[in-house]
Amino acid sequence: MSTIKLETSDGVKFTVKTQVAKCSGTIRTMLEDIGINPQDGEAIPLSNVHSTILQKILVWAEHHVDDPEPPREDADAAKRTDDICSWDEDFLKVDQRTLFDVMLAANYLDMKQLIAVCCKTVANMIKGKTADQIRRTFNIENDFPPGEEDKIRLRNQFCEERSR
Amino acid sequence: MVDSCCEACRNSIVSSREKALKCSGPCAMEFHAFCADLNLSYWKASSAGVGLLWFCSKCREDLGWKQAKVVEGHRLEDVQEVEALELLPVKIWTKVFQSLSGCQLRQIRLTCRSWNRIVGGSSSLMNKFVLRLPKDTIMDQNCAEVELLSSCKSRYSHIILDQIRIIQVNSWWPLIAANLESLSITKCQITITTLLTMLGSTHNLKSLTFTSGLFFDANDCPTEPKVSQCRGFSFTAETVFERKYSSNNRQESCGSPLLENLP
Repeated sequence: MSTIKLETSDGVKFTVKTQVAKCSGTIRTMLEDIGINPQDGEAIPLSNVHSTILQKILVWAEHHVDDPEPPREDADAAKRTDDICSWDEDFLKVDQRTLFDVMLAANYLDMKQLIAVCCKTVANMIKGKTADQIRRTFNIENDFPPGEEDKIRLRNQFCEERSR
Repeated sequence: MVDSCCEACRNSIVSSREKALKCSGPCAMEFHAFCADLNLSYWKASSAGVGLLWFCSKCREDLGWKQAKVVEGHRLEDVQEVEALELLPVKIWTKVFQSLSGCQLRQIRLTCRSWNRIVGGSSSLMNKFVLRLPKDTIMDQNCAEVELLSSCKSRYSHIILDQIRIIQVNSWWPLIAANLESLSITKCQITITTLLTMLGSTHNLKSLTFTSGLFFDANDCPTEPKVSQCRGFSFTAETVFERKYSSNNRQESCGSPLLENLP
């Protein structure tokens, strides 16, 4: 079975099945378009990704390696957040920092399905919360200058939810 | 129970309680993770059955690979949570917010400046909203709503102006018009000059509904209406003056419902 090596930001080398590595659009492009030869023993440097995160991502990729090509991104699928499969749900039960690191890495590696499921997970963390609760959840600082919040509140009042 | 021997320390490996793994190289020997100088995360990764292979140092040398530098695989503690939030690109946040309702997006806008900017700056997110100004608003220099809209960079997609007196549009309309997909002006007090000024900057307008109560002056047409993309079109006015307007805009109206067909 063909494998390739990936080297993370902290210098850890992973040897990965080519098929699994190709879950990443970035690596697929490297292999197919740039033509890095996986046989020559050179590791592909993933200088943006730490080994702890790559390890996690590879577990996900291995699980989803045989997933069919997702249908063209349609707006309705993006809106739902209750369609996360239970394996992914368990997989993403991690601390926030790890979740965001996985998202960052998935973005760097261009893994659309993983990004989508992470985004839905984060959306579920937001749903049903007030601005104040959201800030506490994500440890966000309220950085509005004085008066700005009231302005946004007023603008919000003018914004009706659009019925389709 | 003893399963095998560690190639490095020559001691036995008890797989039920000791972390060990097998070299994927030609030797195919087993090693204690500790003896092989593997950190926990690397060991987990290699033994997770995800297709990761591990090679002992001898095999690595034999295969001609330079020693991989293994650093303790723990995240830097000094990195703050906030930083992770800021690290995620706008594109990703937009995707997160995409699955939220309009009601929830209002809370997002109130969370912090950068999230407010992300929502306001995204046409696809603002598309969930219709901007509807309170009835009987008088849009002039002293109007609080005008002030509010003038200082706002949001990409509104849909606006309903119902029973509003529109006197001046210079300060707030240009900011809004360019992104507008649908515009509904009903029972507003507005001059045709003002209306045409407004339509002069609606490059992306796809639907226009106009129902007029009052319509005054009809002299100069200040700008050509930009409604060429407009597909849905409804125009009802009790009185429309000025033939000059329709003849001026014959070409402009090509491909869209023609203005000159209006009553």
